Amino acid sequence: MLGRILIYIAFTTALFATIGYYLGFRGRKNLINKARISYHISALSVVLASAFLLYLILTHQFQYTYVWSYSSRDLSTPLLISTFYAGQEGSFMLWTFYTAILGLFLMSYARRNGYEPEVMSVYSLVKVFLLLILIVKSPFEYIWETWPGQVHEGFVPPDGRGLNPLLQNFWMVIHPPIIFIGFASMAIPYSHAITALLRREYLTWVKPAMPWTIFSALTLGAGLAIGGFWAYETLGWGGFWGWDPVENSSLVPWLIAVGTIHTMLVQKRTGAFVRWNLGMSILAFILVLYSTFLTRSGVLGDTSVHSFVDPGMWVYSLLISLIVIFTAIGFGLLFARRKEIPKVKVESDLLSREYNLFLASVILVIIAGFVIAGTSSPIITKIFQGKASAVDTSYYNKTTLPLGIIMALLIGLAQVMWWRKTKPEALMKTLMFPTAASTIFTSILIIVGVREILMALFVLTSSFAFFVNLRIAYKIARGNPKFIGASLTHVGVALFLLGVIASTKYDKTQVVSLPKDQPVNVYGYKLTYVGNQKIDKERVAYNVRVEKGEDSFIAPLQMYFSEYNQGVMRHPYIFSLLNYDIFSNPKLPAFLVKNMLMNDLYLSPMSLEKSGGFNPHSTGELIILDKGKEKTIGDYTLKFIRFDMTPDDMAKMMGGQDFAIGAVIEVKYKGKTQQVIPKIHYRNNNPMPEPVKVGDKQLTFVNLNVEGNQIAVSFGDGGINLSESEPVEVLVIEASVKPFINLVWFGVIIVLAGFIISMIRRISEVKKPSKV
Amino acid sequence: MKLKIVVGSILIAGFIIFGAYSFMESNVKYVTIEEAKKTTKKVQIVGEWVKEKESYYDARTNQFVFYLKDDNGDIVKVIHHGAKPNNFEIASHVVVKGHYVNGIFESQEILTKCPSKYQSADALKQYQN
Repeated sequence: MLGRILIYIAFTTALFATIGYYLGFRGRKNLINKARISYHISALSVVLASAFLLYLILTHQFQYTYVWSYSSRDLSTPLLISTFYAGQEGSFMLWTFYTAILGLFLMSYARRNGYEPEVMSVYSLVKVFLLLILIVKSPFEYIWETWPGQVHEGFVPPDGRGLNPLLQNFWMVIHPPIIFIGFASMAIPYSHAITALLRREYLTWVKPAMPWTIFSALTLGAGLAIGGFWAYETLGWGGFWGWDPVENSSLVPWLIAVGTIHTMLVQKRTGAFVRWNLGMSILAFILVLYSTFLTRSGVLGDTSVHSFVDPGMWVYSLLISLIVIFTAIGFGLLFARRKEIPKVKVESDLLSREYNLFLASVILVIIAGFVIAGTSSPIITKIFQGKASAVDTSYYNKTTLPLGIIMALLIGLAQVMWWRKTKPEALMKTLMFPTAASTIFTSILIIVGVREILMALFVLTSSFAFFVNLRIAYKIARGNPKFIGASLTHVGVALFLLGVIASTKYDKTQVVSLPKDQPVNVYGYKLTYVGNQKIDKERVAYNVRVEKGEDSFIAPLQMYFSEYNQGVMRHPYIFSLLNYDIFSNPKLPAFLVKNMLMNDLYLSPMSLEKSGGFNPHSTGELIILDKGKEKTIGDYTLKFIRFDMTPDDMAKMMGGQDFAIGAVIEVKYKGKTQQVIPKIHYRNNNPMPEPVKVGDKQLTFVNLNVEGNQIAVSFGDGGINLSESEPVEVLVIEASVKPFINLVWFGVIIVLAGFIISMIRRISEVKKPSKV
Repeated sequence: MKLKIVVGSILIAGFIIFGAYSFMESNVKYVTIEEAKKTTKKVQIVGEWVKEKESYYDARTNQFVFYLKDDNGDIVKVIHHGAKPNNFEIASHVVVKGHYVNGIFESQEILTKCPSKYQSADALKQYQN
């Protein structure tokens, strides 16, 4: 009961704060203080409700549906804490929690800058709606309320259902707490835009709004990065980005926020782009709401790998009304005031910084548009085709690539432009070195193997952006490092783009069968499957020994049936600079530094097969024979004549039954020619070869390619008696090398560092009395 | 200034057309097996796994083979390039994305849709009896 009461109190007081602040703005100044107190009570209630939920989780109160659904007794404390936001109700709770806390900061910030009633009335309205969702979908529901009639009142289950094993991971513990700061804080630039419209102060609002916009972009960006890293190292996607709706829905508001930062800069300097900035700030928050709707309403239902839970009609309608209301307030007001918003003539010179910053903003909006259109494709196709279907992920790559190329070029160019106008001669001079350097760099890569035109162009513009910004960053670092934010961020973006090109376009992947205890060479490493063991009650580790030179390490690849997900989970093992085992294995760091600077080795388990007593590698070296061509091995000459199959076997093969196929092979040995017919028997689709004796050797028919008229045979000493050997375990893995993926992580870290520096600079500008 | 607006509008229109075109191209339509046989485009088929027919994973070629029955009752052999997907056994229906080539549906991606056992009281009942 306590949790629910707290939510109701928080809701009522937040509602009162909204109304009080609004009336305060309309002239009833006496209400402002009451609204302020009301907001404090509301925030306190939210904090207490969150603390109460955490307490319920930590003390295993399984009579609560939420606690029962996502946690269990065997979880460690950090994982137990992370179950707080493992489900929908809890993540809305977390969002509300951040909204409440950030509101307190916003309140005193706005009070200092003299627009508290307006900004807080809008902001508090966001909180009202979040609390309304928590009332409809409460994390404090008892199990007998969730399933009335099925569970009797007062019943406490002895244990909970547990946490999804995919979320049982350090990165997933910290990912939601960071990304939800981003979601929550996106309401602040929105509130600032509405405040500007309400107060009719169109020019000055960007200055105090800017640090918050950067803050949102920073936290959302950090959340995205951590999510990407989680996908790379836990999900086994093989990459850090899968254009999944959940990822896209955080990316899109981020792109808009980043675009806004660029044009806010222009407005602060020249007063131009007022309407654009108002619109963008409103749009960023509405896209947060729209994304929430996409991923939380079940509307994407059947079209994604993720299963989206249908939260029920109430939440669905609430999410829709959230979008409608905040769109109506934002764009309605903007539309109503459009005529009175001052138009400052924008410097239209192509070679001005203003113009290029605006272009950057536009490019980011177009990218965001493409991504959101693709993510919404199930809705769009449902409307036009009647049946929802999602676009292929290739859509995103196809559409963003040309924009990425232009964006990288702009990142390079805009940084060297001056405000108002740049002299072409000066531009040429500054661009000489970066142009030369990036041209040389790209030429080298073209020689090395970059063959596609668009990729070569992307490399060219990205490296151009890198060299331009590196040079500027270096100059600023020697002067006043406080101003390094922008150029540092762009150095990071350029590195990130180069890392993306290398690791996603030029990675190599191979499916390898590893028969137990037999080494197989892959990409310069010797891999041996050495056996498996249980790690906990569910998880099984399949150990692969990885050797290179003197070094030898065991990689435990996890693959197991998860009771929770009712499916097979596969976790990769990655040899990368970010491998955690460096703490437990002192020899590992040196090995990683030696081998993994350029490439990650990514090992992903696929399946464990019991080969039916046959292992191609155990019978000798594999030899490929083309039909009618002779091949000499030592004293022997082999020639594959034809396949041999009886009509009876043919019929069995067609019927999916066990069958046998033979290969007629002509063997010349010591002047004698003979024909032999080794066979493969297929039993339950497992190949079981039957070798034949030839001279002192044993010839085994291992594999065939009917269309290619090719067979593979092995030719050995015949030491192994196949029919009696034990079934061999074969671990099938996918091994890939990801070139320069470290650039992706490194680039992201630099970008985030740049954001932090810029934010500090913009905060200090707000504090300073403005120069007139 | 006028010229710039014209150039800008053309560019934006170009991007929109380009986006819409890519969207249509990449939109993988849901079809029946019968329709899949008639097209060379990438399509997706919803259906059920035919458990009576053969189904196996071939480790050497990294192919998972099974038979799929669509809503019309047609059956097609599916060769999926990859491991057997998660949740395959308990999936209420399966979605395959790929091309129909020479009597076989070559699948690049499989989605499995599971009966939602979550949020159900069944799991709780075990404690109550």
